[in-house]
Amino acid sequence: MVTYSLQKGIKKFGNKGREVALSKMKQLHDLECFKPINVKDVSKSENRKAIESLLFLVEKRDGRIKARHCANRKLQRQWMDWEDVSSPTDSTESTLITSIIDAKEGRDVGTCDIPNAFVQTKMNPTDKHGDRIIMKIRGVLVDILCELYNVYNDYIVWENKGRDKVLYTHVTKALYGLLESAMLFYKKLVKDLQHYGFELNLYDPCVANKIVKGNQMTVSWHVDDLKGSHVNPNEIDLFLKWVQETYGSIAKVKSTRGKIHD
Amino acid sequence: MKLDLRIDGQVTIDMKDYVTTMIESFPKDVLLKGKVASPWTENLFKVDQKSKLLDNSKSEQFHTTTAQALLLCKRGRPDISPAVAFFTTRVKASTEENWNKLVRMMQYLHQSRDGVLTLKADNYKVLHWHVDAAFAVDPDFKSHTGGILTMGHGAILSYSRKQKLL
Repeated sequence: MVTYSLQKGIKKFGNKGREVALSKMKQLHDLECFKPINVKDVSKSENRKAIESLLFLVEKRDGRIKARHCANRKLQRQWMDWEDVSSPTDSTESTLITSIIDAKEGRDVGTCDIPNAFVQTKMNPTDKHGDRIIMKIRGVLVDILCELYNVYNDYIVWENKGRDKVLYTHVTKALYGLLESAMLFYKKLVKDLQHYGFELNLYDPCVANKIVKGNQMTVSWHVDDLKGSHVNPNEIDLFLKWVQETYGSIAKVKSTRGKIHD
Repeated sequence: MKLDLRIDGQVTIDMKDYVTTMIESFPKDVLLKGKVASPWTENLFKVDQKSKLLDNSKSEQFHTTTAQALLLCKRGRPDISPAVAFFTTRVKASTEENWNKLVRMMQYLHQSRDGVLTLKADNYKVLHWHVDAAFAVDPDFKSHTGGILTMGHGAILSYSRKQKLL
Protein backbone atom coordinates (compact mmCIF):
# COMPACT_ATOMS: atom_id res chain seq x y z
CA MET A 1 0.00 0.00 0.00
CA VAL A 2 1.47 3.36 -1.06
CA THR A 3 0.15 6.73 0.13
CA TYR A 4 0.42 9.91 -1.94
CA SER A 5 -0.48 13.51 -1.22
CA LEU A 6 -3.42 14.72 -3.31
CA GLN A 7 -1.28 16.66 -5.80
CA LYS A 8 1.24 13.84 -6.24
CA GLY A 9 -1.59 11.32 -6.44
CA ILE A 10 -3.39 13.23 -9.19
CA LYS A 11 -0.07 13.55 -11.03
CA LYS A 12 0.46 9.79 -10.77
CA PHE A 13 -3.05 8.47 -11.37
CA GLY A 14 -4.37 11.30 -13.56
CA ASN A 15 -8.12 11.51 -14.04
CA LYS A 16 -8.77 8.34 -12.04
CA GLY A 17 -7.10 9.87 -8.99
CA ARG A 18 -9.13 13.06 -9.36
CA GLU A 19 -12.36 11.08 -9.65
CA VAL A 20 -11.60 9.18 -6.45
CA ALA A 21 -10.91 12.46 -4.63
CA LEU A 22 -14.12 13.90 -6.08
CA SER A 23 -16.22 11.01 -4.86
CA LYS A 24 -14.68 11.24 -1.36
CA MET A 25 -15.46 14.94 -1.08
CA LYS A 26 -18.98 14.29 -2.40
CA GLN A 27 -19.47 11.66 0.30
CA LEU A 28 -18.32 14.07 3.03
CA HIS A 29 -20.63 16.78 1.67
CA ASP A 30 -23.60 14.40 1.39
CA LEU A 31 -23.06 13.24 4.96
CA GLU A 32 -23.03 16.89 6.06
CA CYS A 33 -19.66 16.51 7.75
CA PHE A 34 -19.00 20.23 7.34
CA LYS A 35 -20.82 23.31 6.14
CA PRO A 36 -19.27 26.38 4.54
CA ILE A 37 -19.23 29.58 6.57
CA ASN A 38 -18.41 33.17 5.86
CA VAL A 39 -14.95 34.11 7.03
CA LYS A 40 -16.40 37.31 8.57
CA ASP A 41 -18.38 35.12 11.01
CA VAL A 42 -15.25 33.37 12.26
CA SER A 43 -14.00 34.79 15.56
CA LYS A 44 -10.31 35.44 16.20
CA SER A 45 -10.18 32.59 18.69
CA GLU A 46 -11.84 30.17 16.23
CA ASN A 47 -9.46 31.24 13.48
CA ARG A 48 -6.46 30.65 15.72
CA LYS A 49 -7.68 27.10 16.43
CA ALA A 50 -8.67 26.36 12.82
CA ILE A 51 -7.49 22.99 11.53
CA GLU A 52 -6.42 22.05 8.02
CA SER A 53 -8.13 19.55 5.77
CA LEU A 54 -5.97 16.88 4.16
CA LEU A 55 -6.72 14.32 1.48
CA PHE A 56 -4.44 11.44 0.54
CA LEU A 57 -4.65 8.95 -2.29
CA VAL A 58 -3.77 5.39 -1.40
CA GLU A 59 -2.85 2.71 -3.91
CA LYS A 60 -3.87 -0.66 -2.52
CA ARG A 61 -1.99 -3.91 -3.17
CA ASP A 62 -4.67 -5.05 -5.61
CA GLY A 63 -4.26 -1.83 -7.63
CA ARG A 64 -7.39 -0.06 -6.35
CA ILE A 65 -7.09 3.62 -5.51
CA LYS A 66 -8.78 4.95 -2.39
CA ALA A 67 -9.03 8.46 -1.01
CA ARG A 68 -8.50 9.09 2.67
CA HIS A 69 -9.65 12.35 4.17
CA CYS A 70 -8.47 13.55 7.52
CA ALA A 71 -8.19 16.71 9.54
CA ASN A 72 -4.76 17.79 10.70
CA ARG A 73 -5.11 17.61 14.47
CA LYS A 74 -1.60 18.86 15.19
CA LEU A 75 -2.88 22.28 16.24
CA GLN A 76 -5.63 20.85 18.45
CA ARG A 77 -3.11 19.50 20.97
CA GLN A 78 -2.36 23.02 22.14
CA TRP A 79 -5.84 23.71 23.43
CA MET A 80 -7.45 20.36 24.22
CA ASP A 81 -7.13 18.51 27.51
CA TRP A 82 -5.99 14.92 27.52
CA GLU A 83 -9.08 13.67 29.37
CA ASP A 84 -11.42 15.22 26.77
CA VAL A 85 -9.97 13.20 23.93
CA SER A 86 -8.71 9.88 25.31
CA SER A 87 -10.94 7.03 24.23
CA PRO A 88 -10.77 3.65 25.97
CA THR A 89 -10.09 0.43 24.06
CA ASP A 90 -10.52 -3.12 25.26
CA SER A 91 -7.55 -4.88 26.78
CA THR A 92 -6.04 -7.97 25.11
CA GLU A 93 -6.90 -10.07 28.16
CA SER A 94 -10.57 -9.03 27.90
CA THR A 95 -10.67 -10.34 24.33
CA LEU A 96 -8.98 -13.57 25.41
CA ILE A 97 -11.08 -14.09 28.56
CA THR A 98 -14.36 -13.49 26.72
CA SER A 99 -13.19 -15.89 23.99
CA ILE A 100 -12.42 -18.61 26.56
CA ILE A 101 -15.89 -18.15 28.05
CA ASP A 102 -17.35 -18.35 24.52
CA ALA A 103 -15.51 -21.66 24.01
CA LYS A 104 -16.38 -23.07 27.42
CA GLU A 105 -20.10 -22.26 27.13
CA GLY A 106 -20.24 -23.23 23.45
CA ARG A 107 -21.43 -19.77 22.43
CA ASP A 108 -21.89 -18.67 18.88
CA VAL A 109 -19.63 -15.77 17.96
CA GLY A 110 -20.15 -12.96 15.48
CA THR A 111 -17.74 -10.15 14.68
CA CYS A 112 -18.35 -7.01 12.67
CA ASP A 113 -16.64 -3.88 11.45
CA ILE A 114 -18.62 -0.63 11.40
CA PRO A 115 -17.89 1.28 8.18
CA ASN A 116 -17.27 5.05 8.33
CA ALA A 117 -17.79 4.90 12.07
CA PHE A 118 -16.55 8.37 12.94
CA VAL A 119 -18.50 10.35 10.36
CA GLN A 120 -21.72 8.85 11.74
CA THR A 121 -21.02 10.70 14.98
CA LYS A 122 -22.08 14.29 15.55
CA MET A 123 -19.56 16.77 16.93
CA ASN A 124 -20.44 19.03 19.84
CA PRO A 125 -21.58 22.39 18.36
CA THR A 126 -18.83 24.22 20.27
CA ASP A 127 -15.88 23.30 22.46
CA LYS A 128 -15.73 24.13 26.17
CA HIS A 129 -14.55 27.66 25.36
CA GLY A 130 -17.61 28.24 23.17
CA ASP A 131 -15.67 28.07 19.89
CA ARG A 132 -16.81 26.10 16.85
CA ILE A 133 -14.36 23.74 15.15
CA ILE A 134 -13.31 25.44 11.94
CA MET A 135 -11.60 23.54 9.14
CA LYS A 136 -9.79 25.28 6.31
CA ILE A 137 -9.98 23.57 2.93
CA ARG A 138 -7.37 24.69 0.42
CA GLY A 139 -6.21 24.39 -3.17
CA VAL A 140 -7.36 21.50 -5.34
CA LEU A 141 -9.94 20.42 -2.75
CA VAL A 142 -11.67 23.81 -3.07
CA ASP A 143 -11.80 23.36 -6.86
CA ILE A 144 -13.27 19.88 -6.42
CA LEU A 145 -15.96 21.08 -3.99
CA CYS A 146 -16.90 24.03 -6.23
CA GLU A 147 -17.08 21.69 -9.21
CA LEU A 148 -19.50 19.48 -7.30
CA TYR A 149 -21.66 22.14 -5.65
CA ASN A 150 -22.02 25.80 -6.69
CA VAL A 151 -22.86 26.84 -3.13
CA TYR A 152 -19.17 26.75 -2.16
CA ASN A 153 -18.28 29.45 -4.71
CA ASP A 154 -19.83 32.11 -2.48
CA TYR A 155 -17.50 31.30 0.41
CA ILE A 156 -14.09 31.28 -1.27
CA VAL A 157 -11.51 33.65 0.18
CA TRP A 158 -7.98 34.37 -0.99
CA GLU A 159 -5.15 34.31 1.54
CA ASN A 160 -1.38 34.66 1.47
CA LYS A 161 -1.46 37.73 -0.83
CA GLY A 162 -3.97 36.15 -3.17
CA ARG A 163 -2.01 32.93 -3.71
CA ASP A 164 -4.11 30.51 -1.63
CA LYS A 165 -7.73 29.73 -2.37
CA VAL A 166 -9.37 28.86 0.98
CA LEU A 167 -12.78 27.70 2.14
CA TYR A 168 -13.75 28.08 5.81
CA THR A 169 -16.04 25.31 7.03
CA HIS A 170 -17.70 24.44 10.32
CA VAL A 171 -17.07 20.77 11.20
CA THR A 172 -20.29 19.04 12.29
CA LYS A 173 -19.30 15.36 12.25
CA ALA A 174 -16.38 13.54 13.91
CA LEU A 175 -13.91 13.54 11.04
CA TYR A 176 -11.02 11.11 11.00
CA GLY A 177 -8.00 12.93 12.37
CA LEU A 178 -9.73 15.07 14.98
CA LEU A 179 -8.50 14.36 18.49
CA GLU A 180 -11.96 13.92 19.99
CA SER A 181 -13.43 11.75 17.21
CA ALA A 182 -12.61 8.38 18.79
CA MET A 183 -13.97 9.51 22.17
CA LEU A 184 -17.20 10.84 20.63
CA PHE A 185 -17.75 7.59 18.72
CA TYR A 186 -17.07 5.58 21.89
CA LYS A 187 -19.71 7.60 23.79
CA LYS A 188 -22.22 7.15 20.97
CA LEU A 189 -21.62 3.39 20.80
CA VAL A 190 -21.95 3.00 24.58
CA LYS A 191 -25.19 5.03 24.58
CA ASP A 192 -26.60 2.91 21.73
CA LEU A 193 -25.59 -0.36 23.41
CA GLN A 194 -27.11 0.75 26.72
CA HIS A 195 -30.29 1.71 24.89
CA TYR A 196 -30.30 -1.82 23.40
CA GLY A 197 -30.14 -3.23 26.94
CA PHE A 198 -26.43 -3.79 27.56
CA GLU A 199 -24.71 -2.99 30.83
CA LEU A 200 -21.06 -1.92 30.82
CA ASN A 201 -18.57 -4.20 32.54
CA LEU A 202 -17.20 -2.57 35.68
CA TYR A 203 -13.58 -3.48 34.94
CA ASP A 204 -13.30 -2.95 31.20
CA PRO A 205 -15.13 -0.02 29.58
CA CYS A 206 -15.16 -1.81 26.22
CA VAL A 207 -17.03 -4.90 27.39
CA ALA A 208 -20.80 -5.01 27.91
CA ASN A 209 -23.26 -7.74 28.88
CA LYS A 210 -26.95 -8.35 28.50
CA ILE A 211 -29.16 -11.25 29.56
CA VAL A 212 -31.17 -12.54 26.61
CA LYS A 213 -33.63 -15.38 27.16
CA GLY A 214 -31.87 -16.45 30.34
CA ASN A 215 -28.37 -16.49 28.84
CA GLN A 216 -25.68 -13.88 28.75
CA MET A 217 -24.76 -12.02 25.59
CA THR A 218 -21.33 -10.40 25.71
CA VAL A 219 -20.03 -7.68 23.43
CA SER A 220 -16.44 -6.44 23.42
CA TRP A 221 -15.07 -3.90 21.00
CA HIS A 222 -11.99 -2.12 19.80
CA VAL A 223 -12.99 1.26 18.31
CA ASP A 224 -15.25 0.12 15.43
CA ASP A 225 -14.64 -3.65 15.55
CA LEU A 226 -17.21 -5.54 17.63
CA LYS A 227 -17.33 -9.12 18.87
CA GLY A 228 -20.59 -10.50 20.21
CA SER A 229 -21.37 -13.94 21.63
CA HIS A 230 -24.43 -15.87 22.84
CA VAL A 231 -25.35 -19.54 23.07
CA ASN A 232 -28.19 -19.04 20.61
CA PRO A 233 -26.99 -18.19 17.06
CA ASN A 234 -30.32 -16.47 16.33
CA GLU A 235 -29.60 -13.91 19.03
CA ILE A 236 -26.27 -13.08 17.35
CA ASP A 237 -28.13 -12.71 14.03
CA LEU A 238 -30.50 -10.27 15.73
CA PHE A 239 -27.60 -8.38 17.28
CA LEU A 240 -25.79 -8.06 13.95
CA LYS A 241 -29.05 -6.93 12.37
CA TRP A 242 -29.31 -4.24 15.03
CA VAL A 243 -25.73 -3.11 14.28
CA GLN A 244 -26.59 -2.98 10.57
CA GLU A 245 -29.72 -0.92 11.22
CA THR A 246 -27.94 1.44 13.61
CA TYR A 247 -24.63 1.95 11.79
CA GLY A 248 -25.14 0.65 8.27
CA SER A 249 -26.78 3.67 6.65
CA ILE A 250 -23.67 4.67 4.66
CA ALA A 251 -22.31 1.24 3.79
CA LYS A 252 -23.05 -2.34 4.76
CA VAL A 253 -21.61 -3.49 8.09
CA LYS A 254 -19.04 -6.20 7.39
CA SER A 255 -19.87 -9.12 9.63
CA THR A 256 -18.22 -12.52 10.09
CA ARG A 257 -19.88 -15.66 11.41
CA GLY A 258 -18.39 -19.07 12.04
CA LYS A 259 -15.59 -20.42 14.16
CA ILE A 260 -12.63 -18.32 12.96
CA HIS A 261 -12.44 -14.58 13.60
CA ASP A 262 -9.72 -12.07 12.74
CA MET B 1 -4.57 -12.27 15.40
CA LYS B 2 -7.06 -15.03 14.62
CA LEU B 3 -9.40 -16.53 17.20
CA ASP B 4 -10.11 -20.14 16.27
CA LEU B 5 -13.03 -21.82 18.07
CA ARG B 6 -13.32 -24.92 15.86
CA ILE B 7 -12.49 -27.35 18.65
CA ASP B 8 -15.17 -27.50 21.34
CA GLY B 9 -14.19 -26.03 24.66
CA GLN B 10 -11.02 -24.29 23.54
CA VAL B 11 -9.87 -21.24 21.66
CA THR B 12 -6.55 -20.92 19.85
CA ILE B 13 -4.83 -17.61 19.30
CA ASP B 14 -3.21 -17.82 15.90
CA MET B 15 -0.44 -15.34 15.07
CA LYS B 16 1.16 -17.46 12.31
CA ASP B 17 0.80 -14.75 9.65
CA TYR B 18 2.49 -12.24 11.92
CA VAL B 19 5.36 -14.66 12.70
CA THR B 20 5.82 -15.26 8.96
CA THR B 21 6.05 -11.48 8.39
CA MET B 22 8.69 -11.24 11.14
CA ILE B 23 10.68 -14.09 9.64
CA GLU B 24 10.50 -12.60 6.15
CA SER B 25 11.83 -9.26 7.37
CA PHE B 26 14.80 -10.92 9.13
CA PRO B 27 18.07 -11.95 7.36
CA LYS B 28 17.38 -15.45 6.03
CA ASP B 29 20.95 -16.76 6.02
CA VAL B 30 21.22 -16.74 9.84
CA LEU B 31 17.79 -18.27 10.39
CA LEU B 32 18.65 -21.50 8.64
CA LYS B 33 22.04 -21.97 10.31
CA GLY B 34 21.09 -24.33 13.10
CA LYS B 35 18.37 -25.90 15.23
CA VAL B 36 17.62 -24.61 18.70
CA ALA B 37 15.55 -26.17 21.46
CA SER B 38 14.54 -22.95 23.22
CA PRO B 39 14.36 -19.21 22.47
CA TRP B 40 17.19 -18.44 24.92
CA THR B 41 19.89 -20.07 27.07
CA GLU B 42 20.82 -19.62 30.71
CA ASN B 43 23.15 -16.81 29.56
CA LEU B 44 20.24 -14.59 28.46
CA PHE B 45 20.78 -11.98 31.16
CA LYS B 46 24.60 -12.11 31.12
CA VAL B 47 26.10 -9.17 29.27
CA ASP B 48 29.57 -9.16 27.73
CA GLN B 49 30.78 -5.58 28.25
CA LYS B 50 33.50 -6.06 25.62
CA SER B 51 31.12 -7.00 22.83
CA LYS B 52 31.14 -4.60 19.86
CA LEU B 53 28.22 -2.28 19.17
CA LEU B 54 26.15 -3.19 16.12
CA ASP B 55 26.44 -1.15 12.94
CA ASN B 56 23.48 1.08 12.00
CA SER B 57 21.58 -1.32 9.74
CA LYS B 58 21.90 -4.26 12.15
CA SER B 59 20.97 -2.01 15.07
CA GLU B 60 17.83 -0.88 13.23
CA GLN B 61 16.95 -4.51 12.47
CA PHE B 62 17.48 -5.35 16.16
CA HIS B 63 15.11 -2.55 17.19
CA THR B 64 12.46 -3.47 14.61
CA THR B 65 12.48 -7.18 15.45
CA THR B 66 12.32 -6.42 19.19
CA ALA B 67 9.27 -4.17 18.67
CA GLN B 68 7.58 -6.84 16.54
CA ALA B 69 8.36 -9.52 19.13
CA LEU B 70 6.97 -7.31 21.91
CA LEU B 71 3.56 -7.30 20.23
CA LEU B 72 3.77 -11.02 19.47
CA CYS B 73 4.62 -12.09 23.03
CA LYS B 74 1.61 -10.20 24.43
CA ARG B 75 -0.80 -12.13 22.22
CA GLY B 76 -0.18 -15.53 20.71
CA ARG B 77 3.43 -16.35 21.71
CA PRO B 78 4.09 -15.73 25.41
CA ASP B 79 6.90 -18.33 25.25
CA ILE B 80 9.35 -15.69 24.01
CA SER B 81 8.54 -13.16 26.75
CA PRO B 82 11.78 -13.38 28.85
CA ALA B 83 13.93 -12.91 25.74
CA VAL B 84 11.85 -9.93 24.63
CA ALA B 85 12.05 -8.42 28.13
CA PHE B 86 15.84 -8.53 27.84
CA PHE B 87 16.00 -7.20 24.26
CA THR B 88 13.83 -4.19 25.12
CA THR B 89 16.52 -3.08 27.59
CA ARG B 90 19.23 -3.31 24.89
CA VAL B 91 17.77 -1.48 21.88
CA LYS B 92 19.65 1.77 22.49
CA ALA B 93 23.08 0.15 22.59
CA SER B 94 22.72 -3.29 21.07
CA THR B 95 25.86 -5.36 20.68
CA GLU B 96 26.99 -8.37 18.64
CA GLU B 97 26.31 -10.54 21.68
CA ASN B 98 22.72 -9.25 21.89
CA TRP B 99 22.35 -9.85 18.16
CA ASN B 100 23.33 -13.52 18.58
CA LYS B 101 20.67 -13.88 21.27
CA LEU B 102 18.10 -12.28 18.97
CA VAL B 103 19.12 -14.65 16.18
CA ARG B 104 18.53 -17.58 18.51
CA MET B 105 15.04 -16.35 19.34
CA MET B 106 14.29 -15.86 15.65
CA GLN B 107 15.62 -19.34 14.83
CA TYR B 108 13.28 -20.69 17.50
CA LEU B 109 10.34 -18.76 16.01
CA HIS B 110 11.29 -20.00 12.54
CA GLN B 111 11.28 -23.61 13.72
CA SER B 112 8.05 -23.21 15.68
CA ARG B 113 6.29 -20.83 13.27
CA ASP B 114 3.16 -23.02 13.26
CA GLY B 115 2.80 -22.74 17.03
CA VAL B 116 -0.43 -21.28 18.40
CA LEU B 117 -1.58 -20.45 21.92
CA THR B 118 -4.37 -22.74 23.11
CA LEU B 119 -6.60 -21.52 25.91
CA LYS B 120 -9.12 -23.57 27.88
CA ALA B 121 -11.00 -23.03 31.10
CA ASP B 122 -11.39 -25.68 33.79
CA ASN B 123 -13.50 -23.35 35.85
CA TYR B 124 -13.92 -19.85 34.54
CA LYS B 125 -15.08 -18.48 37.85
CA VAL B 126 -11.60 -19.02 39.33
CA LEU B 127 -8.60 -17.26 37.87
CA HIS B 128 -5.10 -18.46 38.80
CA TRP B 129 -2.02 -16.28 38.96
CA HIS B 130 1.40 -17.97 38.96
CA VAL B 131 4.25 -15.61 39.82
CA ASP B 132 7.97 -16.12 40.37
CA ALA B 133 11.06 -13.97 40.64
CA ALA B 134 14.80 -14.40 40.14
CA PHE B 135 17.05 -12.34 42.38
CA ALA B 136 19.67 -9.99 40.87
CA VAL B 137 19.93 -11.67 37.50
CA ASP B 138 20.01 -8.57 35.33
CA PRO B 139 23.33 -6.92 34.43
CA ASP B 140 22.63 -4.03 36.82
CA PHE B 141 21.79 -6.52 39.62
CA LYS B 142 18.08 -5.83 39.43
CA SER B 143 15.79 -8.82 39.88
CA HIS B 144 13.43 -10.25 37.30
CA THR B 145 9.77 -11.15 37.79
CA GLY B 146 7.45 -13.23 35.65
CA GLY B 147 3.84 -14.23 35.98
CA ILE B 148 0.93 -15.76 34.14
CA LEU B 149 -2.82 -15.62 34.53
CA THR B 150 -4.69 -18.77 33.57
CA MET B 151 -8.13 -20.33 33.77
CA GLY B 152 -6.66 -23.80 33.65
CA HIS B 153 -4.91 -24.21 30.32
CA GLY B 154 -2.73 -21.59 28.61
CA ALA B 155 -1.63 -18.11 29.61
CA ILE B 156 -4.30 -15.44 29.12
CA LEU B 157 -1.96 -12.78 30.38
CA SER B 158 1.77 -13.18 30.90
CA TYR B 159 4.56 -10.84 31.74
CA SER B 160 8.28 -11.05 32.23
CA ARG B 161 10.06 -7.92 33.29
CA LYS B 162 12.96 -6.43 35.18
CA GLN B 163 12.01 -5.12 38.61
CA LYS B 164 12.29 -1.38 39.00
CA LEU B 165 13.56 -1.18 42.56
CA LEU B 166 15.23 -4.42 43.61
